[in-house]
Amino acid sequence: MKKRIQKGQSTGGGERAALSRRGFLKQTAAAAAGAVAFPAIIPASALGLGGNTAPSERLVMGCIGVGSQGTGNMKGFLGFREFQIVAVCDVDRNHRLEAARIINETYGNQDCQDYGDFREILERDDLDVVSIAVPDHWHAIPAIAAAKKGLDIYAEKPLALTISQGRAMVDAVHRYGVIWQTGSWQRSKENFRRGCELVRNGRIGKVHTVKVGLPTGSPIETQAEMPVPEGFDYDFWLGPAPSEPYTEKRCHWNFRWILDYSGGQLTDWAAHHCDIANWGMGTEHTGPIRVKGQGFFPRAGLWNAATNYFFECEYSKEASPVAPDGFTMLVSNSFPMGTRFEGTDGWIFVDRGDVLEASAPEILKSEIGPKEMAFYKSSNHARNFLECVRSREQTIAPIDAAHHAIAIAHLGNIAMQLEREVHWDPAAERFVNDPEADRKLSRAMRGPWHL
Amino acid sequence: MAPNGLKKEWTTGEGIMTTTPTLAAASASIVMGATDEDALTAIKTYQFGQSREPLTVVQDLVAAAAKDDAQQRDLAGKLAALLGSDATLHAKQFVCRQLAIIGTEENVPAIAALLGSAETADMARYALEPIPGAAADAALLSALAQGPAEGRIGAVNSLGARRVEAAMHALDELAGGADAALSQAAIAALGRIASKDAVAALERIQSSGRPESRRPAADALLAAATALTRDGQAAEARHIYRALKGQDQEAPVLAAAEIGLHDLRQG
Repeated sequence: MKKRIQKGQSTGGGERAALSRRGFLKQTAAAAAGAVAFPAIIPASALGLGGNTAPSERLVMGCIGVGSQGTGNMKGFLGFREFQIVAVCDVDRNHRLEAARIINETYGNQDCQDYGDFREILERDDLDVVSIAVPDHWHAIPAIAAAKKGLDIYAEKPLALTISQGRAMVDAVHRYGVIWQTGSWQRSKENFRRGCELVRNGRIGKVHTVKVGLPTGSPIETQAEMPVPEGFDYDFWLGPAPSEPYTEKRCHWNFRWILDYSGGQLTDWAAHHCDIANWGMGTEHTGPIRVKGQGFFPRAGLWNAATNYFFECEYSKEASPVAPDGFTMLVSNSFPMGTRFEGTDGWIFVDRGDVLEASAPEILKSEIGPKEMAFYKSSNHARNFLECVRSREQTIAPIDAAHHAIAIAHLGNIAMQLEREVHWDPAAERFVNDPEADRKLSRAMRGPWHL
Repeated sequence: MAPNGLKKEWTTGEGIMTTTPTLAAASASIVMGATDEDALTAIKTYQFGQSREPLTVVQDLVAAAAKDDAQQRDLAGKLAALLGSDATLHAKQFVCRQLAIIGTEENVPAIAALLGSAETADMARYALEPIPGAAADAALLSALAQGPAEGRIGAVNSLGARRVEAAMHALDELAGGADAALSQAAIAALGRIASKDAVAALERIQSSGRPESRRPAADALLAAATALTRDGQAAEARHIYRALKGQDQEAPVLAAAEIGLHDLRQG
């Protein structure tokens, strides 16, 4: 498989790739032929013993979080014979039993095991990869735990609840050399890739403005405390978040409208459209230097994430190769959904539904020459993950990109909550002489949880 | 007021804000004459299930006070006083959230008084963890010696997050203690602190600690090496990686040690 990594990206492959846990397993498997005793950590299945298929042909997967999104992802992986899903985990018994039923029905057996605690599924010694789709406030802890096990990870966006949690996740993934794919699947769609590639190759000239349109949020009325449904481990669901009474509209899909667990439509969708903005601008490893804006946060009911928002991010002259004078990224629910790049020679707009538009037809007809920057191509997000697990190459949606995409949304939320402009040092990932804003980079976790 | 709750209608043209953001929508209640005392009195009886409106009025006060140090200290003091009052648990939890934003060392005693109760300890840490200064460090250190294990784990975690070097000896002791969860939390905290003494303690656990502590200690050492590299102490990080590489470690640890050395070579 031929891949070209964008300039400025660190590669997950090459020399470093040989240093992964799976690389160590391969070395040890080779040694096994010489009757060397195996360290206890190496599962027999990973070495092709016990009647199982060797890892080069089949990847054993566990799914952590099998609510609506997680089950959707799981069904996608079930479509690949190269994956074998052997275990599911969810704090909601109904979710995990239904997921296990789907898996067993697909495989025609009763082998899938279900767990209510992610630590137990990670104790299995037969896993190669995990799919993680849990509420945002739970993203960091199981992901870091999986990385410590040396497992490759497909995980849902937005990357993390806070910037510091995102940084800890990036560090762990790099530290243990595991493959990471974020569920920002727009990168595996041709129109987004093509649009970004045209921007990066200067087809609209010097970019001065990027407009990112995201959805409008919704408020909800005040909710009464309710009994916790049988089979739902609510305390575990809360996990590191502050303790609060149970009410139905807090949990499952609705977590994303509450700031203890997420950042609203802003973070939910910035992980897609701001990610595309970064991809086109080549700002996947940096961030803005100044952010200001205004949001309306619902004031009475249960949901408190911003429903209407507008913020402006200023980037330095050094941030993007196609914006030598710097550029401004505007993020709001008042723009049309999607990402619009505006330059001195025209504009390009991309959105779901294969939307790729430009200010002039010739921009879209333009060919990328052999000496120009050809973007990494993926046409199937799950398959790209599969291929990269095997090749040890970097995925189409690596963790660094996810971190820097969601940091934009976090910075916007912080500026809007502080109701003032903030100055950001993207290299240090701290605010500039602003201890008040720095306090919002992390949150104390409820015991016993920690990073 | 724009219909969407923002101060103005945003246009999709320039989009650049032309006005300085002011207090959000319902600070109207403040403008209409409510005092700090009115607003704080209104939240004392707050229970989950009631409208959050009184809380958001106080949130507005907190945001507004940030523009003036004296006003901020005054408001933080009034909020902290609520923690020792007959305010409801939910009101106190809300107050802790606000003190996480504007609390200072002056407010630490009032917050620390909540550390001894399982019902309030986590929210007390929520307030304390971001407050700069030795007073919050000392309060968290004191919490290590009291209360149930789970509460003590919380204090351990906060000391790690704050990288409190003064906690090193207490954490070292807990790392070798009988409570497995507390021990592992202490080991992880030592890795986050990543001082010379913390690294030495982790290396000692590696060589002579309980078998079940070896892997957590290796992970903590790797985390310390990341922190040291970021702090410009590459030589110390290299020492950790080399030591782990030469030991009988699990595959992910060996891989991480090799990766760490590789990345240091790459600069």
